[in-house]
Amino acid sequence: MLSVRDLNVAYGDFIALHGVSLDVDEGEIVVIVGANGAGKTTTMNSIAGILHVRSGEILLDGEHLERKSPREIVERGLVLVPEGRHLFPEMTIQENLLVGGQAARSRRNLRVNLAAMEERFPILGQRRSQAAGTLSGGEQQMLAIARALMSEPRILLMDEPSIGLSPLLTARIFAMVQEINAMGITVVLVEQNVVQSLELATRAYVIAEGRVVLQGGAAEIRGHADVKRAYLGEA
Amino acid sequence: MHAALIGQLTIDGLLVGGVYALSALGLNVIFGVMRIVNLAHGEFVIGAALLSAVLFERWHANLFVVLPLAFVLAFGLGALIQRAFLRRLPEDLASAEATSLLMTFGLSYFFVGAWLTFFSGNFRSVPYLTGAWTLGPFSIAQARLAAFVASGIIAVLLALLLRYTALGRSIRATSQNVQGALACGVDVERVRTLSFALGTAIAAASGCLLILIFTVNPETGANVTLASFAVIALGGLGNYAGTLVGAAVIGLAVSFTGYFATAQVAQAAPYVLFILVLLLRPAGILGKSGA
Ligand SMILES: Nc1ncnc2c1ncn2[C@@H]1O[C@H](COP(=O)(O)OP(=O)(O)O)[C@@H](O)[C@H]1O
Ligand SMILES: [Mg+2]
Repeated sequence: MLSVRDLNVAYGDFIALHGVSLDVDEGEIVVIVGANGAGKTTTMNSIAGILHVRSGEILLDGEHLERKSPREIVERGLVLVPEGRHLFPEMTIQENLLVGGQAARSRRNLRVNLAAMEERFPILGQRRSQAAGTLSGGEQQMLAIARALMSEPRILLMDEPSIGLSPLLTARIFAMVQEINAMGITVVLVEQNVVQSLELATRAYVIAEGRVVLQGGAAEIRGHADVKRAYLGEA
Repeated sequence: MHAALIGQLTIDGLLVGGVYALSALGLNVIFGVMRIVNLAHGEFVIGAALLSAVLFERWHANLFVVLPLAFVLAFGLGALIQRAFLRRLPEDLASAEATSLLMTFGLSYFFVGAWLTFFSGNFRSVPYLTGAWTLGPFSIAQARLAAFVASGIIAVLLALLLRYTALGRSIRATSQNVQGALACGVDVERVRTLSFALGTAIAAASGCLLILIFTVNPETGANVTLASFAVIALGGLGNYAGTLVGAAVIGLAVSFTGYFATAQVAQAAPYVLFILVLLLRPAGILGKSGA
């Protein structure tokens, strides 16, 4: 479904990605793990069209995305839940959702999708007229996810959705990832919680210093000695 | 001092304040979305004011014809300027800010020259609605009231647009978080063009109303730009409710100093207030201090 080939991305003179390649099949949950500053967010933002790609290819069902605008990419059904959420803090919860559903692909279902989100995330329905900035961290993350779902994505990119959340809320986010996937949406998930995310993933990539250093089935990655040492605190 | 006089000056000041508020709202839309401090703002106000004066001199053109015409022309001009110049600003914010100041400063000079060519340097006004109504001890100039009411109507329409339309939500979303807007598939470039066009059109509308009250020539644009900035500085950048308060304060300052001091001092009043506010309350009168 999604195929990234030899991606090179730089911030000015600093090269952040050195030839990253990855593949995501329809219906998968693919997890990307790696240390802080490894290039996970850079990878996600490049795929979503927010960062300029220096070279390499990004193919969605065979169509090139690497020169497309973020809007064109959303219209093709690839949607990002960005790191740090990037909500519209002074707009109401309902307005945040409406902006999320404004893409041409989903606009005609705007009201239906809004009702569906308020049912799926009751807290968002109860506080629909409240400014998004007044929500707690966990609620804001729910809103960021719901906002992305408003555009009826086929493939959802989630960049550290559990960052800064309690273990309980983190578990809820993970359950939600599985629900979203069960709805038929392909998921690419960047996570710090390596163990938990590998439990629900089909496959995983490990990124270090702008390169893919390890890839494979989730269980295989989980059992890999380097991963155990680096992320799981096991000898 | 006579209570009736204070009342009269207050009425006059608040009515003018409505027009200042409208001009400042245009500036606020542009700043909110584009983070551009538009130093050419007053030139759009004055351009429309002079256009409506000329159309009145030639054909006695009615305000209700001239204002929509100026609005549409300025909207097109604003869109053109955004596509031609401002879209090419550098990506990173700090250098974009400096470049945008230079660009809009240059545009301001260009338009002063253009207006001098089209309209000459003559001072003009529109002797339209010259009557006044008497209300107890006060007199209410028809032109001032009309300008105030029209400004109010346009401001309300703007508020409705921002609040209840998809475009309005896109404008606010882009103002509050560009990355978030991009992630939602908002066409941020289009929003920027439309916001600059809208801000310019609102400036033009306020120009058509300003000239009902004041006499202007092509070189008075800088005063309008500064008065609009003073309003925003008083109200807090990006704070729409604060803009109304700021406009009232500037309107009153102009009205009172105009009566008790010379016209030159009255012109300087907004800038003195502007500087005082920047020193004492950098976040605006209503803003959180230190924010
Ligand atoms: N806007 C930026 N400007 C310059 N360097 C950046 C920028 N964003 C990220 N980087 C650098 O790029 C590298 C990868 O960052 P990022 O993709 O955010 O990593 P991760 O998401 O894996 O923590 C880091 O070294 C980081 O310092
Ligand atoms: Mg990151």
